[in-house]
Amino acid sequence: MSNIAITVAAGQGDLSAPMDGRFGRAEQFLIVDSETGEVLRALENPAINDAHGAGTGAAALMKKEGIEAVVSGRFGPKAFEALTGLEIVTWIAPSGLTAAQALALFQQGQLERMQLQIIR
Amino acid sequence: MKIAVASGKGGTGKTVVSTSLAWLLAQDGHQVTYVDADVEEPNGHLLLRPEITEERRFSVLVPALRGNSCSGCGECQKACEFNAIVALADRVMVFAELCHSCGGCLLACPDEELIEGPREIGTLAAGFANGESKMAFHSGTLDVGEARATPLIDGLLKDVPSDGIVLVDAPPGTSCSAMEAIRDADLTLLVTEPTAYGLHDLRQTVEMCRTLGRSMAAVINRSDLGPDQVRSYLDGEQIPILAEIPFMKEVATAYAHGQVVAAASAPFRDFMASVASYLLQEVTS
Repeated sequence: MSNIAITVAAGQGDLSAPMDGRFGRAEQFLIVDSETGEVLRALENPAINDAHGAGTGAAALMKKEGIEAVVSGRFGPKAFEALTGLEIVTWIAPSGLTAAQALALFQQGQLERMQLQIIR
Repeated sequence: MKIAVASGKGGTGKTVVSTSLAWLLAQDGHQVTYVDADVEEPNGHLLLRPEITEERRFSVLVPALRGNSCSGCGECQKACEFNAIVALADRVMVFAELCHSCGGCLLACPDEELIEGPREIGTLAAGFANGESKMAFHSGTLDVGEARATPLIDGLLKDVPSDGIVLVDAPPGTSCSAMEAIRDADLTLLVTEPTAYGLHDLRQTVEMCRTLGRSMAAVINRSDLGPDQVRSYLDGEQIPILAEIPFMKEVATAYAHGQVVAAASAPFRDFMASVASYLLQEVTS
């Protein structure tokens, strides 16, 4: 069993919710058993309104929750650095999907890992 | 006496007014210091053309690991209000750009594994301007990409002598950096304009000054180009209007050529003279 997090915009805390394309400022994190597809819990993002540091705060939360991989649309540079340091894998899903569709692509091995980007 | 020149909206004429006031007061024999605290886009030097005699890099303190003995316990991460530290299995990752230099992480670390070290965020410059009627000139420039101007403005203002007349050209807006620039001023001179944007941002600035308990006076720039709401708002707030300066092409021309406007335009100089006499009479430090 491995637990992954999928970033979702506000929903009912289930897989019908639309994926939130941003990691650090996502509304919620759905914690999912990647093998069974079962939603274990839905976490509100406590850092969503922080002026700075939402991404690193969310990364620390993933660690605390024992997450091994995150599926989102986009990771900011600091969030990516923190998640990489925490050995949490970052997967990029196309925008416009529901959490269920993103999960299906993850299970089928069709998502791409975020690559190191030199942005400065 | 310390006067902050603030606006809310950008482009109302803060720098034109503050450089002109500084020039005029220096011409009249006062000891004047002009401080450009608009550190994200300082441009007072374009008008005053100072001779810079001192320049130094400015740093804030940020944490770093002392050695390799970090246990990754995460106490420092818990102490950090700004998510600047992420604890890994056997070390911590510091995101220095997010750090507010509070030092809380050092206190929280049970093993005293964190130390503080300098991180450069900008440059402070000092010198003189205005030829024979010398005035002191101070300015700060925040490095590109830095998120927090407040410590640099604090460092800039600490460098400024408190005697004589200090004119602080504040950043626009009502964020932390604007507050830092007006915090210690005896009076905040609001430079505004009769536009919908000007009024909207002026309200925010007045609210900021009231919250900080700062006294205010106002100058309405290009006063004949818009509706009267700014004037009636200031009257309602009982903020004295020291000058209503109509649009003058010679002012725009002098500004466009990078001249100190009070030096180039006699009518503008007269408006600044009445502002200066109010400040000298009404404000005591």
